Amino acid sequence: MKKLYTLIIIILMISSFSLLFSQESIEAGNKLLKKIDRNLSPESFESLKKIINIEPNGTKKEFVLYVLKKGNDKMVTTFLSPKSEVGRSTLRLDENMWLYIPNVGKPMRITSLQSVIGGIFNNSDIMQLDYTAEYNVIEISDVGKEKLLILKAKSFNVAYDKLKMWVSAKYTTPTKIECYTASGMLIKTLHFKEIKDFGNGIVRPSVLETDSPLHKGYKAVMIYANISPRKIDDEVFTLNYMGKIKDLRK
Amino acid sequence: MDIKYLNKFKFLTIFLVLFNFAQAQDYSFDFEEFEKKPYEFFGIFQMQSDLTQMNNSSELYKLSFLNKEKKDFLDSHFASLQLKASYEISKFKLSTYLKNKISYNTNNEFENDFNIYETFINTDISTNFDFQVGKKSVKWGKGYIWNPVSFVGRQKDINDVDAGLEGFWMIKFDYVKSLSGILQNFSISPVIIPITKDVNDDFSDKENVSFILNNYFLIANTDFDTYLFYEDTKFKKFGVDFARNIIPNWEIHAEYVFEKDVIQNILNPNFVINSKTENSNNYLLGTRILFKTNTTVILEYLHNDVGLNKSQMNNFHRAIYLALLSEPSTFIQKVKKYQTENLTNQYLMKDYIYAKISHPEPFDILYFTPSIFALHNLNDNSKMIGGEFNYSRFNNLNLKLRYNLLLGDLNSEFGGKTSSNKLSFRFDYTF
Repeated sequence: MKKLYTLIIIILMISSFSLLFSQESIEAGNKLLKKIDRNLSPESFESLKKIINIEPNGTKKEFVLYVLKKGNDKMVTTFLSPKSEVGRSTLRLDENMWLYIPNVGKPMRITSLQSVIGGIFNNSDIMQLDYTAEYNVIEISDVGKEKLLILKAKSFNVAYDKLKMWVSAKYTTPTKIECYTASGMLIKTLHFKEIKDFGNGIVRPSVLETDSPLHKGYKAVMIYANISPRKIDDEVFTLNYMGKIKDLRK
Repeated sequence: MDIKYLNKFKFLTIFLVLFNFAQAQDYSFDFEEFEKKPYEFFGIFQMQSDLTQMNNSSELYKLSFLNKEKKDFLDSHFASLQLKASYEISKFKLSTYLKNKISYNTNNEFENDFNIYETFINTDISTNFDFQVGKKSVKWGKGYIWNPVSFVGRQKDINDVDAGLEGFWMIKFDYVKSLSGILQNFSISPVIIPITKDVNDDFSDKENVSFILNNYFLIANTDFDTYLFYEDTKFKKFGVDFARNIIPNWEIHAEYVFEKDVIQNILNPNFVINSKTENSNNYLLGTRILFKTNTTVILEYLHNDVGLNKSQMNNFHRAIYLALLSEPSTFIQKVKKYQTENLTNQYLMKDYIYAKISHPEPFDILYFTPSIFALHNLNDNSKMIGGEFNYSRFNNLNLKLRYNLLLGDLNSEFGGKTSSNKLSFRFDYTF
């Protein structure tokens, strides 16, 4: 009987130790994720980016977007090109998302899984908030020179339930992210390329390529032209401002 | 290896290098091109052709084509040019939106219609305050197909809900404030609209100064608006609306309007027009669901309190029938006058259900969105059903093919219209 008690105590000690170890490791993972967020963009910034949808036959369609982001939960984008899309804006306030089309003239609620441009990028890819705002690290490991983080969505409102993120040890920015549904199906893969110094301490990949097993042969590319820190009033992230976002460019 | 093959490979290598170079070129772009300029200008050239099959059994058709050549089909075409421009000086911005539309149909009816849709100055006094004065189109409401709370705007066209609409001359002020907590932000927007013989004469029947107040709240992730409308100092109507995502892919919305002392002119069974004044309650309940298949379904129920009921619609059709039989034209004129003064709204009766199903990019065809829709009149069981193909593959070019079929008894709203089905093709080019 005494032996049994000793065995139980040893098992409990080992499991508590491993739990403590994994807890520490997860905390380290979340800290790393926070660092990745800050390396990708300042907390409050403006940016210009181009999105190119590429079809299997090579034909392309390009869009240019102006982006403003503040804190963990506020982001707004507006199209600057092509002309037919100019002024079409998307606002994200935490889990709320609205689309404003100039002719329609009033914002309407949309979801992160829809796509305002068509193609592989959906609204959640274009309106990506900080990863720490939406995900927790549940596993961390070393894969060659990179770290592999497994991220789990904090709520069911997030577009992808699970992410596998490979992180460059040198730049502490992602090199590849795989996006999975709750059932474990791979929806798309994001490839981060072409490290660029954007100034203000932002050194990060400037090109984001996406492919999806659901749309074989199709590709979408997001190219960042600039990312500049900017103080932005909270009121910019309201429905009243959606028709005026492009006027906020300096 | 044959030198010919080597040359071929050389060509292939050069091609691949150039191709890769071209690809690499795509990964950089000149962002100076997108820097803000004080001026902005763009235009939309639109062409549309409609082929309409006439409903020559309907009384309305007989009334419309009285003393005209009867047609089984009517072709109509229009071309329109819309110009939008703005110029910004300091904190002031002048914007204008003009539209010229030329229409022609095979009944040899030609029309040229020029409109100033918008011309206004706005100034952002600060991020919180915005002031606008001039002719402006303001759209309020959460409904997709109908907006009873649209107190300062025109009702949208059910055949083209996204179309730009002509505004009214007004003074508008916006105050917006963001907060932290359950009330995430709110805005207050008072609007003043003067109505005289020459200004905004289609806004109201009588000269007055209308004061409208809209308050918006984003509260607990729900959009909530209140609306108040005064004519001079007299209360006219009040409205509320809301929209919320219950779960990310499921949105619900509603609008409600109470209007005081609405005059309704009803044709009684003896074809005498009875006027009655009653308070009205208009409302709309709707939902928008995005399924995992990427299919979106919009469902809306709308109640138009001042609309006709089934027997009143029957009286109207019977009045046309008898007017066309009778010799003196005074009866015909009376019926025509009643129609133009009372039955020009898009929703003539009380209760409707609207459904639209759209599925973007089927079979991996990018920028292609097919959809089907139905507007069902619950009072007389008539309906408008149809489908639409939208294609925007080419930069700045949008192509739309639309088909409408109207079904119902000859005494019903949709079954009694002048046409029974219509095929439309539209081409929009933005420059």
